[in-house]
Amino acid sequence: MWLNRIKILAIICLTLLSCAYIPVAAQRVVTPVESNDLPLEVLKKENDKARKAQNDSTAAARADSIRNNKDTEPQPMFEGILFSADISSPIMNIFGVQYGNYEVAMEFDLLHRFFPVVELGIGQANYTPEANNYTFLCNPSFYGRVGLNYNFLYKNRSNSFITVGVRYGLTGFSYSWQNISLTDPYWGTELITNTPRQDAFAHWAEIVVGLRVQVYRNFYMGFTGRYRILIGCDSSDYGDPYFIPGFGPKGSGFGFTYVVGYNLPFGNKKKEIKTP
Amino acid sequence: MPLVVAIAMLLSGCGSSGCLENRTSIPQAVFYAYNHPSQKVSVDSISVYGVGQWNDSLLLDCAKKVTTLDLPFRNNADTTQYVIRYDARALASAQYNDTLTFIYRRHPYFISGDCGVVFNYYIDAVDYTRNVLDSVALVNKEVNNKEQETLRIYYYVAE
Repeated sequence: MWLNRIKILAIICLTLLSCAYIPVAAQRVVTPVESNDLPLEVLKKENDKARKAQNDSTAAARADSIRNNKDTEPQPMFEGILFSADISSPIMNIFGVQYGNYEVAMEFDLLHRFFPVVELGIGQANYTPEANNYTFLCNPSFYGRVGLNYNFLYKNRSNSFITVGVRYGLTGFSYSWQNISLTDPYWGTELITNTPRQDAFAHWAEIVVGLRVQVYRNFYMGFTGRYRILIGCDSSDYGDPYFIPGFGPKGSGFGFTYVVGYNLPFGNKKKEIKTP
Repeated sequence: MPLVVAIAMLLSGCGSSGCLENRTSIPQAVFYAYNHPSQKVSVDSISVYGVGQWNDSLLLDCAKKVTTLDLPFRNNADTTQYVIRYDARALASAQYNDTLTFIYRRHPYFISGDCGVVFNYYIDAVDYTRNVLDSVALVNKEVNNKEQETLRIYYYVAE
């Protein structure tokens, strides 16, 4: 009897002991962190290490991103200057046209999209039409135009352009009519006379459509069609001038220029240039 | 390049569309009734010639029903004279002739590339005799290549 009671008591004690021991054992096994048990200085050092590592990784990531962005860096605003000369008048002179505008132009390539333009030239005329009674003489006179072209092909970074633009032009010039032949059948007179030299100022606007093609490296050729609107021109007692430097014959609104030019690029454009 | 040549040739041909305006500036005289100043009249049997014309040719030779006269000015002088001779039997004598004298300034004027240059005139004065005609009125001192009345010659018209 006593023996049985002792056995039962022993079992209960063992059970209670085992219940008390298991949580302690479990806590030691499943808890790897010993921070609660570490000193404060050690904890600080470990935190500093972790922060430093994090900063290093951010800096590295930033450096990587800068390295990657070198290929797609922002496009420069100013990409070059285009120099050109109009050779249409010399060609037309060969074919008998007795007047002309001889000009050079400078265009500033902004984002390959906008091209502010300055055109400077000299216009002259020594025009004697067939079956008519006068020679119109316009002394070589300077003219200038300023304006802007817009390149429709700016997206494909091509060096060939299709542009539309506007211009404002002005000139001061002098002119006269020479060898005016006037006959009168009734009075039987035949008179040759001249007018005195007249000085005038003229200004006008233009709408310009252009096509330009790269032909070799940075050299290009192209032509523009122009519609000119005369804003004002001094007249005289002897009539309006037949030809206005930079504008052309007064009665004609349409004109064209044929240009050859050189594109002087600014910066590294190797990746941007595509042949047409 | 062929394109440029084609455009050049095309443009060199621009402006040769021909002249659609008068290529002379001639003053025009119109006959009116003095007693009905707004009424145009026609004059019968008149001859007109310029004084000093090199071969004495007539501008009008015994013309009938004349309502207007084109009187070209001498382009190498500042004065032009015309004589109106009345060929009706009752007036067929030099004493009835009327003379018109124009004093003017002239200058070349460029009309257009196709029409060329003409002489335009500015009339300073008109003198006239009053043998048959009653009076003369200068209505336009500027003479240019536009069709316009320059002068009115008034005759007394029997009612």
